[in-house]
Amino acid sequence: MNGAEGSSQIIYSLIVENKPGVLFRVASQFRRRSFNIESVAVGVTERPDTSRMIITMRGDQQMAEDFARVLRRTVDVIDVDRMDPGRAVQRELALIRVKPGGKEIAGGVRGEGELRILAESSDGAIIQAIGPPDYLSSLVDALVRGKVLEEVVRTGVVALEVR
Amino acid sequence: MSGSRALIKALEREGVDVVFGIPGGAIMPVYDELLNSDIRHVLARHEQSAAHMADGYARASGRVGVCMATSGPGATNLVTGVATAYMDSTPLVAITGQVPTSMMARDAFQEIDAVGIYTHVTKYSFQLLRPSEVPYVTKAAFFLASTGRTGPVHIDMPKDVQTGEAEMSFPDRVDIRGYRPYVPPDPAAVARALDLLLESERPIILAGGGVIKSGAHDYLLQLAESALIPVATTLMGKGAIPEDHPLSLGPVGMHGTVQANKLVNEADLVLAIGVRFSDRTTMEVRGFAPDATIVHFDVDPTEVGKNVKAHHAVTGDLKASIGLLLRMFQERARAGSWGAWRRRVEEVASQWRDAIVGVKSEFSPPHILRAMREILPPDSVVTTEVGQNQMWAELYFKVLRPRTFITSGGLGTMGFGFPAAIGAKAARPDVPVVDVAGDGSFMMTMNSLATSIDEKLPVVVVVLNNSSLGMVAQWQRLFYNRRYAATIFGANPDFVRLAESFGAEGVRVYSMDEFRNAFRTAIRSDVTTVIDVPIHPEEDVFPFVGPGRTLNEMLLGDGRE
Ligand SMILES: Cc1ncc(C[n+]2csc(CCOP(=O)(O)OP(=O)(O)O)c2C)c(N)n1
Repeated sequence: MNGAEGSSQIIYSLIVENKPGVLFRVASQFRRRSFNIESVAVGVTERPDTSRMIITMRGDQQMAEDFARVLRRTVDVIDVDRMDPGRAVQRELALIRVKPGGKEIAGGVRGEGELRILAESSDGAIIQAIGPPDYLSSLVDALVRGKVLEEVVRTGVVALEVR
Repeated sequence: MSGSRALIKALEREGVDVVFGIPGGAIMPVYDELLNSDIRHVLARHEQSAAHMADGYARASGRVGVCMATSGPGATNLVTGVATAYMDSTPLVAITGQVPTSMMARDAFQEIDAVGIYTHVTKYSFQLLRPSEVPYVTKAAFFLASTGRTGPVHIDMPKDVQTGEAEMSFPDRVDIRGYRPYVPPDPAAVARALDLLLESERPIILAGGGVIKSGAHDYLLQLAESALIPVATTLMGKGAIPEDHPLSLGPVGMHGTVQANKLVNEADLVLAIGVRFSDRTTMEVRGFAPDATIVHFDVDPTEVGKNVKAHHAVTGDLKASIGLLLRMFQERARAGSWGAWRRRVEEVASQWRDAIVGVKSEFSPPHILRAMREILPPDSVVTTEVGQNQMWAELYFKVLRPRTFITSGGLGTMGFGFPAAIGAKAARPDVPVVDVAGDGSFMMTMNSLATSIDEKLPVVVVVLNNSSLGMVAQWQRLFYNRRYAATIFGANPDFVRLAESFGAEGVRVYSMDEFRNAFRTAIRSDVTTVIDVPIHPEEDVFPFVGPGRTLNEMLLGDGRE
């Protein structure tokens, strides 16, 4: 039942109760099926008692639809939307610590992303990168190849579907 | 008002009349408050049994069962019983004490992360953090347990929440945003199900535990009778249709009847109602009803397509859905052209309906179960343990009313039947309650004899005694070259003297006549009776569909397949 390699991206957008234990309950459902969560981003919505979780993983579409019903049945989950990756605007933020020369390599990576230098010294820099997850992955790859990446922290994908 | 007082008051408001449990340090304030209430407390001798008692009570009555334990070992002991209820969708509220909030997550004495454990075996697990939350949480627990797909709900109650005082306001209803149990069936989907049914040539109904839980059995019977469709059941569905009814085929599955297993596989349409297509029901899925269109009715949308692909599904309350299907059927007033199929059904059913296969003598478990049915009034309650005893009961004890057959189907918990019988007796003091037991299972919870005597909840335990873990031994005979790894008991207790030492009756029988006499006496007795029935140690249960086999590959025990 594991999400097979080479299968497509699945994006769940969950509206959940903003209270203790909710992430545990949702995550348990993935764990029980040995699904590997690729990214999870949680934040409070326009209502303080309500949070939104964007969870991405890989797998086949029928499995994704069946599993959406499982998530929907989870008591603290108020609403589940399975986004069409083709119609969802996806953004992720990364903070990247690079050695000297990293800035230049990052600047050479193509894609619809934005870079900002947040801190800089003779040891290197901290770069903020915002963009689609693919862009951030290419950026990280390029920095690894250039042997200038020290560490990276990514927020996980947030997404909204285009209406 | 204190949190404990609020809890007891909330239980009273839910109409709770009995709770099953064992006290301990972390739940003493609740127990103290129970003394001020009319709610009866039944003292178990092991928390697992307390949960099974609440389960038996719930299944026999259709109400929510309540059990209680202290923190730590009380809470962990209770888990098996709660998990058993979860697998069989029994509505239960399980309350555990907890160390004071100030001590939590400090590995305090008898502290465990109860919510962490119970989340996986309940519909929901609440942890109370303030006394003022008690009324709402209790109301929510009963609401969750008793609606939609019913099931157990857990409440963890730290000691300072029990003793702390707050202004309490008791809600009459709760609204849980993420929980919408009342989804009415879509009439168009029901109409489509009827179309498929009317287009079919060889339809069969497969009724599960959901039919009984939702109270859809009357509609089901009317539908079967007006359309003349045969009805097979799952193990949990026993009682959804009276099993002496001409349209009843009995259960399907690993130990299903020949007629049910054969005919499900010949059907071109399976109307599956309130079933979850357990692997013990379908056996090898690829061979399950291979030519059939599957039409699946269930309250739980996650069941659709989980184990067996449904060609059409109707989700929502089963009583409403089947009621609507019946009305639509009657309005169209056109039965399908199922004459040839009906003749085929009758041909197979009449050949096998009364057959006993693969027994070693005339004093074998199938004969015992037949005799029990002859003697017991129709609304008596029968529970089972797990193993061969359970499967003999599945095959040979005809259940005539819903909620009168109580067994651990999903989890297969040895030790379930006896405490469940005691709980059922608390719900139905007016009818005889009998546990069909194996010696191995009985030994897991036989200390409940003390409860049944103390609490004056007399039941009958029929121990089909093969001095072994019979079902495992049967598999060893069939698949492990008769190598009996850890299945043969050396020293069994003398169950007659054991029963007597608790103040119960004990009797051993060696023939059908002795059994009938002892059983007639036992069901009228006002104390619990243990009837020890020494059976041939190599008696096997047949028909048997081996693991990995399809439903039409049945072993009949006499070399026949
Ligand atoms: C708690 C638990 N432990 C182990 C098992 C595995 N098991 C299934 S049937 C069985 C044998 C049951 O023996 P007994 O109660 O004597 O019944 P019999 O099969 O002989 O009728 C065992 C050990 C189980 N179902 N439940």
